[in-house]
Amino acid sequence: MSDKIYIGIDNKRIEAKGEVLESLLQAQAEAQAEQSRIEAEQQAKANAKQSAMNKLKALGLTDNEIEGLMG
Amino acid sequence: MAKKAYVYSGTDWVPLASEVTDLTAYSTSTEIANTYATKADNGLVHINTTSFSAVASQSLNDVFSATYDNYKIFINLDSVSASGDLYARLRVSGADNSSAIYGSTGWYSNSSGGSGVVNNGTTNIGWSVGYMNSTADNGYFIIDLSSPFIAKLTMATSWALRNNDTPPTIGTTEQRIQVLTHALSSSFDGITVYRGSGSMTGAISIFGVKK
Repeated sequence: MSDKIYIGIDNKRIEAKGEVLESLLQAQAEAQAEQSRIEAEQQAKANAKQSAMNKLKALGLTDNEIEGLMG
Repeated sequence: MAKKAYVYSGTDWVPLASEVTDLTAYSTSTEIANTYATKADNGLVHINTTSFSAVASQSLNDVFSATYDNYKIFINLDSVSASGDLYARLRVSGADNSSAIYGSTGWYSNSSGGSGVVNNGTTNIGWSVGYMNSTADNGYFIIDLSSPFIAKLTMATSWALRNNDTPPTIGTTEQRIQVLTHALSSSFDGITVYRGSGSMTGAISIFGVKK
């Protein structure tokens, strides 16, 4: 597998080098950091929802009632 | 004077049921062609379609001009090597604007019950325009871009839809709608789309909206 990174500029496909490669890698690093943050947020939200559902169930609510409550 | 129209049955000329009362009221083939051509120019006008294969980014130069203020961009991805977002950023004179001045906010919902706000921010170095999973059969992204070339703030909306699988399995179906802003009112003549990680294969088409 090649470690080279290719980019397209108009109809040409060329290997990314120098400043272009640096800029692309920086953009991808930022993108991955943002992606990780979003996924962590979504996981935290899912965990909080599950925790709330467990507590509601412990109070005696049925699954249908919980679903109706939480939407 | 009324003229009766005939059609050839294969063995004989037979009259049509109706009569043409005045041929001067009908367009010639040249007039029809010109009229149709004029109408075809009235909506979206095709500017550029570029296909790409296994690239981390795809740039298009000289696609925005003073001819149009607004553009519609269609991106069809056939495959991506890694799951993640597709990004876009503006470009001028063959170079990306990679300053941390891209703003966005968006909303997503999916068939697994997930929903929420995504990509809030004003200091990103590109716009996320949607997500595609590496196991998906294909991805579809649309960007409505306003004022990239003229001296006004460039802004856009994007929407993307996706699933995670290949036919006949759908997998999770998801939509994402976003609004996108850029802090500068300077002129841009091109755009780059890039993956957050890995490479992509597909095509991008740009249309101008006739003023």
